[in-house]
Amino acid sequence: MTENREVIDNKYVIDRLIGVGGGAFVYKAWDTMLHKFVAVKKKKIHKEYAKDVKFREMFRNEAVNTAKLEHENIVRVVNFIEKDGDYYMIMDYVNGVDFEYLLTKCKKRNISVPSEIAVYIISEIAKALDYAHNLKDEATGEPLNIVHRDISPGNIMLYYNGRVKLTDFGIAQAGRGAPDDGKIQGKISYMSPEQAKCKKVDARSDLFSCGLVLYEALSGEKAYKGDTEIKRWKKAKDADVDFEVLRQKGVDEGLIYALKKVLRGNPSERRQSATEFFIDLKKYLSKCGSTEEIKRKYLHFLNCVLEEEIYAAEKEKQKDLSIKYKVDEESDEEEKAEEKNLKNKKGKIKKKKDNKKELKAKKKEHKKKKRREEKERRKKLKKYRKGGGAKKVVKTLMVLIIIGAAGYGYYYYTQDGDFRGIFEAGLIVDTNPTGAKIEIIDTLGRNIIADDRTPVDISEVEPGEYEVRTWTEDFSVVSRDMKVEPNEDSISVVIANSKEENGRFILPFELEIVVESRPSGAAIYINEERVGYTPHRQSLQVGEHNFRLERRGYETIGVESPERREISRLRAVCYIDMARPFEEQAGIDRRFWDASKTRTNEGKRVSLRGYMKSRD
Amino acid sequence: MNKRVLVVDDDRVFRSVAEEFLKGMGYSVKTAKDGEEAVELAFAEPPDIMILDIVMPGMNGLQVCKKIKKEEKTKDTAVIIVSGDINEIEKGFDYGADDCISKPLDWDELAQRIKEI
Repeated sequence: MTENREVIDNKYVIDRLIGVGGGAFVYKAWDTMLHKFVAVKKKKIHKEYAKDVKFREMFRNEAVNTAKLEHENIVRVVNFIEKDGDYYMIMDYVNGVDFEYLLTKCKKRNISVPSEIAVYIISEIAKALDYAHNLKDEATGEPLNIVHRDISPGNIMLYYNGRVKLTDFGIAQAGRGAPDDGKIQGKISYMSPEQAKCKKVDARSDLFSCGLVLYEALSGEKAYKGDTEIKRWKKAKDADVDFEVLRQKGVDEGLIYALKKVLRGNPSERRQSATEFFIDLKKYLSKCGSTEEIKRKYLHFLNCVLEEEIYAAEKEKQKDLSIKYKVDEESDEEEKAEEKNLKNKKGKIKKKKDNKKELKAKKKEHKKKKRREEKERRKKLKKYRKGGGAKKVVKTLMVLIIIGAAGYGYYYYTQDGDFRGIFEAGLIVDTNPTGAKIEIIDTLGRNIIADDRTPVDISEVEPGEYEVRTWTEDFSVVSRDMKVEPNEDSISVVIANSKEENGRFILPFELEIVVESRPSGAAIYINEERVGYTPHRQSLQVGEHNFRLERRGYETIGVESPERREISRLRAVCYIDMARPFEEQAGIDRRFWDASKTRTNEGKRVSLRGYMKSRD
Repeated sequence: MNKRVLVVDDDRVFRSVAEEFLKGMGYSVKTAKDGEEAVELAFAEPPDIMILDIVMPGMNGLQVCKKIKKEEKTKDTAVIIVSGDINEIEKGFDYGADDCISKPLDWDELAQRIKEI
């Protein structure tokens, strides 16, 4: 299998190198067991420590502790492998960039990161630290005293779906040398004074480093200034940070105060816990909006600044499919080859015959298991379904749907004509336009559905409260609350701001539309309803909309309730399907209307301009 | 007039220590042992500041905060939530809390925060 690719532990097929740094190489790899992409971090131990048993033991212990960290703001370590003196850490694959990349890109493009976004990112990291610093050994109840020791923008991962996670717990430190052994460890720019003085560090050192990262994000400059490493190191030793720069940049005084509290040189005068630091940050954020609003702003910002990267990642996913299928094919071929081999040797060696029998039995068992699982699944579904397929729909701003027994089949073709899938039965969540990225997250931040595209079947989602997030290349993330509740003989699902159509929840995206006219001051009718006068701006759900302009002394442009099959022939018509590309719109009479779609900070905007002719 | 502070906590010891501490600072102090009592007292005579524990039997601190901030009569009461749980703190701010202090409580820090309000 996979002759040309490196395989780690007979399980992880290396695809390509995706990063280098801190004495480690990071590869993207395919997990042949769990069928998903992972990140493999290969770390060579410094010669000086490679033969030191005590050090290796410490390294291993630290890896074990790191693997215990399970938090929505920490990149999960799923495996740790030691092979020929090299260490491999298998982690969840990050579909995104690190904070350093974002800061560098912003600097290059002369964009300043909005304060609330910088603070939001660091507040998410504070959550991760609060968890890690307080983690206790499950068996003994003793604190694990986990300290990251290397908080820096490069270790803060920003997922394209808006998640913020901290990576590289402790390992970066261990890889460079034993902690507190009198050697400077970590990156000088993000070092606490105690780190710079090679003293013992604790959780408060991580908070200091967090403060330095926030300082940089707010000011666009590193906190320790100096043209040489030595000068910066001296500044680090003295915790010499110039807060005046932040004032000059117009940073909120409350926020500067919070930074001063966390950037105090003496650890005992500093904020003592990540919770305290988080409160300071949250106090500032609460002035900027609710958590949900901030998250939305953050996603908008990411989408704008990292537009190319997000697009490239989408393209790469297509490539990823090829390795996925290739590796799986190779696995199948290997299995076939094994079977063939067994066939050839049939009768020659009895033991081999036994192997074949074993293989057959295994296959039979596997099939049985699958059947059992399917039966269980159906049983589980049956619990929620009863009656003759009756569906009750309550539609206000929320949609409540109670599912009956019959369920329904569903399939669809994408705009390109690709077949997307058949859903056997149950509840479908879809978007308009369909084919949007979707994830469903439970209250613990776990992904129930991740990396999927609409429509998705949610009939197996357990009762509880969830957040449904949808987005496309054209539309920023829209987040809605979803509640799944079991009733006596059915299941009820409520999704905020959605509508129900033929048993499907449709989550519409919205566009901003600006309507102008020449001359201005014309009455605008959208779908036969007068909405105002030009120039006019409003949000409009994605779908088909008919526009008409009326002005005294001018000929009306646009038509009343046009027949769809005739729209290409109607004079002055403006009938737009917002989900389709503008160059494909048949319902716009371009002699009278200009229509275009542009991207703004808030997402996509449709600009419509009507040219009216005087009756004279 | 002295600022009126309402301390809400199901822990009797905490209530009495807080009462003594805040009276020493010159505030007029009332206490409530649970969420229901807190809402009742606040609606009857809206305090200037409410120091509100989150984990309480019955109506918890988050529910109290939401109720206080929703009601016209009490929406200007400054709510300081007391919690050591980061997720509760986040929710508290979303429900309109003005400030938060983490547990274990640092009394000087509390005094500072009350002064800042």
